Amino acid sequence: MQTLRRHLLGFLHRHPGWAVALLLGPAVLWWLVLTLLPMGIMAYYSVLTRGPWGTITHTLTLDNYRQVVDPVFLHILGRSLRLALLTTVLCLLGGSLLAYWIAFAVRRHNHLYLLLDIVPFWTSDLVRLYAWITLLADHGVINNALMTLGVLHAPLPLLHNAGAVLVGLVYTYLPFMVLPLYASLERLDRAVLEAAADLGATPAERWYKVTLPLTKGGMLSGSVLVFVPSVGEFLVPELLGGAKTMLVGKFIALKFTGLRHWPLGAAYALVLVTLIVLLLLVYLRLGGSTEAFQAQAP
Amino acid sequence: MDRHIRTQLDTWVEALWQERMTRREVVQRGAALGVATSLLADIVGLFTRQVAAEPGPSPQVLEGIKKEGNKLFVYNWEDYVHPNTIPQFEKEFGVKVTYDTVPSNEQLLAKIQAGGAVYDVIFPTHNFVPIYIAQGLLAPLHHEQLPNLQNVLAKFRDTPFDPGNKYTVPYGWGMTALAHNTTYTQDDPRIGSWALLFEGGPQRYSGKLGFTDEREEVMAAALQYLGYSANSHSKDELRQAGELLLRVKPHIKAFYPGAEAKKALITEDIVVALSWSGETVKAHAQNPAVVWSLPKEGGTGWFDGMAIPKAAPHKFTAAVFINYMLRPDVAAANTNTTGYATANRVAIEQYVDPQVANNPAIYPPADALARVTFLETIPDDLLPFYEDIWTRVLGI
Repeated sequence: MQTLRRHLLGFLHRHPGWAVALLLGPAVLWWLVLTLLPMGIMAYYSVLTRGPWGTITHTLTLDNYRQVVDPVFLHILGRSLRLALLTTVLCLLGGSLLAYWIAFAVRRHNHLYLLLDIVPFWTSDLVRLYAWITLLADHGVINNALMTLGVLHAPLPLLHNAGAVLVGLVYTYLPFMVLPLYASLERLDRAVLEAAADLGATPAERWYKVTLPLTKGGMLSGSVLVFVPSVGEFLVPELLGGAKTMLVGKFIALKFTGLRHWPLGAAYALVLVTLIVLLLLVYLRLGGSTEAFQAQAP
Repeated sequence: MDRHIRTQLDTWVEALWQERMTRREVVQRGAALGVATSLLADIVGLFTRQVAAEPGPSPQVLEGIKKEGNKLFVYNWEDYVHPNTIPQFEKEFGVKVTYDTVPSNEQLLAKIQAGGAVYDVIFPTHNFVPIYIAQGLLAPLHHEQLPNLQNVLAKFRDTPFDPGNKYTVPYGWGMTALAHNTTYTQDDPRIGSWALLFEGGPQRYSGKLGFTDEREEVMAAALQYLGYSANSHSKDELRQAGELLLRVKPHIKAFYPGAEAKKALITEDIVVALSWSGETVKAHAQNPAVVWSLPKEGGTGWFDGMAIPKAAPHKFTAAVFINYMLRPDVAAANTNTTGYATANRVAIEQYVDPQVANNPAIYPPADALARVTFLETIPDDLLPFYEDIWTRVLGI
């Protein structure tokens, strides 16, 4: 065993190319199989032709992309982007409170609190969204409690509207914000803060001039993790949304299911992905660096 | 089969299911209901095993099932069988059934078309069947494996949607029309007409309207209110239907997927709805103020078939299951609990609970049935236009 190990290390030492390949291999393979390949398949579908009754004909065309500029699509896209942005801002506020609390106020067992952040993922999101339906319905837990207490006389419309979708989105994606935020706060050298205090900085100044610049990466990273899936979210608006809250995920799904036009659906999906990537590039440029992607969960 | 005991059991189950609840209890018991249902199925299973007098499957059938690994994947609509139907099949035939529920016909078709989801038995609605057949997605049925097919009403056999029942056999049928809550709608003169939804909605029930999200059924309701055929293919008429829906839309709470509208009707989140007949029957059982109404302008009807996808890995077991579902006692038990009519003639004549057989929301009298239009398949060349209208209705 020892000799084998020595031989292997010797080999890798003499052939650094192999060492690099071994180190990068799994990540590259992951990326190829789970990102590039599915995107490639979708790109291929997006240039195919719809046959009768929704079959797919392998005739290449760019027609699908000509159909993409649809005023209804733009309308729904605008709604999705607005809602995703609002979700991100709310997650940033709520997530910051939680992450700061765990990083600074909790003295022991910090990881236990982080575990609690992830616990919801152990249950299917479908079940958790049904729980929200039970809470928010006209005669659900919240309305019933308020009416029993005499605060309300008629139920508030809490379910099946944009507000319910926002609640669902923030609830679903908040943990994704907390993890990178906490990671960046954890790594923040406390000595730097003490130095700032010794040099006469007020708490507000310390936060603005020291903590914020040093944890910007975590905030950017968390925002990306929340914003991107929120834009394309399907389940939350489907279950908690109402008649006026269709988001772009459902729009694309309808091209596949209602219209039975898979190539057109694929084209729309790729346009959405491209748009999000462009938005992210602009965002990162504004944010100053790609540091956002370096912050990792502990 | 000891019919007497079976009927008593059904009545008992029915009584438990239909136990009246107040609004608050409904919410409180919502979660418990799921547990209770599965428990109930177990208890009923214990009884039925003792009284079961069916001859039992032949050795050849059991051999065939064994060859396929004693497994079956069923993809059916939510709340569409008696809670004991699947456990009883598992016990009688020694098969492990994996049972999933489908949210909509479009998604069912998309899944089968994609080929990734391997199901053995699916329940497509009649107007989608021609699309499956055109795409070659279904395996032809071997009628010698389905002796119980003779139990099916002639009306549902050999239809234009699947001539000669080459690919599908009829299971259940139902209607799509109005459900309304009499606590809120009493003395409304619009009761009995689509006007309750399309005029009363904006005036009296704003924000309390619910629609199923099955595209054809929503469009058909609007078309019928406007005085057109539910199967209209006129672009002008379809456009008017879309505009009507957009006008009513600010007052609509939601387009509910699958059987979701039922829950909102029970909890009174919505008080007037475009709803499936069986869901209304079940809603009525839990909230008696919710009632069914087939408008004078008409409603739409549909029937679901049972079919075996071409890619099904357990085709023989699937045929055995379909034949089992066509058994009068099984078909009757399903109808008695689901609130949807069975297409099984023998079941209706001998087994179905009289209360069910006389319920106009399940078995409408002849004059009402005459107002029900069975939906046709949307022509493929009209689909882009049709879907554009629908996307606007949902999206704007």
